[in-house]
Amino acid sequence: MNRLFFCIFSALLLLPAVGQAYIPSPQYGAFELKLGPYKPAVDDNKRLNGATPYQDTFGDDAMFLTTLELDWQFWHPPGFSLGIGGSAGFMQAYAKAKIADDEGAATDESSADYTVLNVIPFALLAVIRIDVLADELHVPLVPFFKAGLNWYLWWVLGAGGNTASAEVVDDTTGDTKTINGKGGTLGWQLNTGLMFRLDELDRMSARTFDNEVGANHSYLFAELVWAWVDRFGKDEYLNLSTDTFAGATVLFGVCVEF
Amino acid sequence: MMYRTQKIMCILALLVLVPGTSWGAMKLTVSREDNSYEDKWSPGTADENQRVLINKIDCSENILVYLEVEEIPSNSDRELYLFAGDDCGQTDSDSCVWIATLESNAGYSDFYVYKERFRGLIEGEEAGVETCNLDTTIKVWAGFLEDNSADATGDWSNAVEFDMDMASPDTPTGLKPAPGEANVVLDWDMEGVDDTTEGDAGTGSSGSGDQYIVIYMEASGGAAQVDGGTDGDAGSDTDTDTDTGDMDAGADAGDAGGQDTDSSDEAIPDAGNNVPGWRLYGATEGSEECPSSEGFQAGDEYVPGSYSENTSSITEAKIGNLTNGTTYRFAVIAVDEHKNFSPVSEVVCAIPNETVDFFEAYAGAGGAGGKFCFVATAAFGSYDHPTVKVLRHFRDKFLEPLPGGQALVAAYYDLGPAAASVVEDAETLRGVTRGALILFAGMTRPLSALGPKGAAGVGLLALGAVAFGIVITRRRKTRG
Repeated sequence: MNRLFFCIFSALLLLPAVGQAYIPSPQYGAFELKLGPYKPAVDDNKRLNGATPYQDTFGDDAMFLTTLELDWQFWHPPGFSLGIGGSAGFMQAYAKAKIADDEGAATDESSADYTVLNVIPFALLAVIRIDVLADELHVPLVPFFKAGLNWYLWWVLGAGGNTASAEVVDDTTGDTKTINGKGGTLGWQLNTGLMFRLDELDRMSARTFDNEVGANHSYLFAELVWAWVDRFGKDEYLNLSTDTFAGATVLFGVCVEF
Repeated sequence: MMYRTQKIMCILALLVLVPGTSWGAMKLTVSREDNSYEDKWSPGTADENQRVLINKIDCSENILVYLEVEEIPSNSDRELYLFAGDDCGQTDSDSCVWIATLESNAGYSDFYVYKERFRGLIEGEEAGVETCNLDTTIKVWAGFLEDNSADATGDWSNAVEFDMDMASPDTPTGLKPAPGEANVVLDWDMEGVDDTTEGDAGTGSSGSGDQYIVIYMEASGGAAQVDGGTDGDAGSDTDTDTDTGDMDAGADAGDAGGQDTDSSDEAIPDAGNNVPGWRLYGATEGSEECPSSEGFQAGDEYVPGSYSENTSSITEAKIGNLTNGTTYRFAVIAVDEHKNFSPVSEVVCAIPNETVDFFEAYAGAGGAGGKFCFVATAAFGSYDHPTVKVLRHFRDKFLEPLPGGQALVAAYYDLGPAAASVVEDAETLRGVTRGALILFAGMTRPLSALGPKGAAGVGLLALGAVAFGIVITRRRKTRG
């Protein structure tokens, strides 16, 4: 009897851990790739006095923004993920430059030359993700909120592909000066959105993904962005605030938490 | 019809003799040696497939082709001959015809073949026929034989093809110029049909061009005409042209260089000039208006701009370095693989003009964006102070070319005005700032002169020198 008990006990020890509970890997952060339209509110600058140089040059079409974001999730209280993220992206608008009239002003006639506005937006954000629905109730939806500062690096290319410049009259001295078509505009932004956790579609694959690569969760998401990029209301800077859909823009992307 | 004096066609064969050794099959190739006969044409070029491409001008002028024969067996009873035919060296060699002989004891390395002999091969021995066949490929073989009959005993080489195309490509149409700043972008249509059946010389069409040449000139003020020949008859289409360097436009194949009685103009290259410098002659007088159908005017001098691509699908060109406000005429010529040129296209005019880019439009409407050296200007009181200039030079030549340099500079411009306002208001602080900036400017001078790459190179050298010194010092200590 003792021998039988010993054999059974040993066999149980040697068997693989069938039905063992899944232990996810530690979660440190998230990586996002997101895309979407972006139309800057350049023409809202009060110094333009109603002129619309952006609209006149590039028309109504929005630029196409591609952004990468990396978040460090430093705290995981129950139902939440809190972190700090940094992002960088790129967008570009290009169009045919206009033929100048005798006074140097733009006519309606398009030339053969292209003019290009290049923008690299940077952002530093505080990020809150609400995981309770997905973690506790297995409802694969994760709302999130972000807020932070941004800084948009921009430069304009003119005829010949060189950085543009313009001759203007200095307001204080009355002298003619050359200003360069490049710079950076500081601002701030608020983001919110909803993520769809793909793990729920195939939990076994998601666990395998975590075991082999360390990816805790993967998502598809949509994100609304309100960006005020005008140096906190200063007219001396190129206004690159969002103006795609009534002051906001929407981006779509994929996210992996690891 | 008058015929020009026919000139002797020379085929120069360079022999590479390998004494006393039989290497097997002889090899015949088209050598790309320069033409040492200055008054003769070298037709088109041999392409990478070892085909000699002959166009209609080549056919009516001299042809000088270098053929190289290698791996010739050693046999004192045989001579080297050139033959033309479809299938020389085979059992049925009836179609092979002897072209030339190179005798081993001749004492010279080149030989002459009468043109009539070669043309007879093309035209089937028709007497009095001067025009070249439009669509013929002649194969040339080298035979190291006992005599100059195609069925003699001996060794044969591979064949080199002489591919002939006498037809011009279609004329480009639908020219559309778009002016830019000191440039014009021209695009056109090329609706040529792939031509598989070519007609007679001068009337057939070989379809779309293999490349295109854009010719352009200022619309007003035609300069004195330039004559490539010595007979002074440039512009005249009725007298006989006897010099070798002049060609009259307006000729169809066969009478280039001869009397030109037809009225259609056609651009052809200048003899003796490998670059297609175009000289166009017509019967009409010059006009300051953009001609709509007469083409470029007689006596006009032009800038031989050229734009060429290797594919006929490229039908756009950007002509730069023009003068804003000046009217230019443009036309396009298609060139096929054999360097046959199409007639000149319709002529269009365009005026390059200043353009307004987005930033100029934005700044012109009142938008700001330019940045200055805020802190230094505030400290020294002037944007043009020498020290401020040194710092600007450092920004332009060293900082901005660095990776991330532009972002760094832009960040400075963003924060600079705030710092400048503080410096500007405090005299003591201005003095301290001036001293610090003078010291900093002194250090930036060598960096600005070297640039980022130079500075990195010097830095690496210095690092290497220090590392070398350390190694040497440690070795000495070890030995000691």
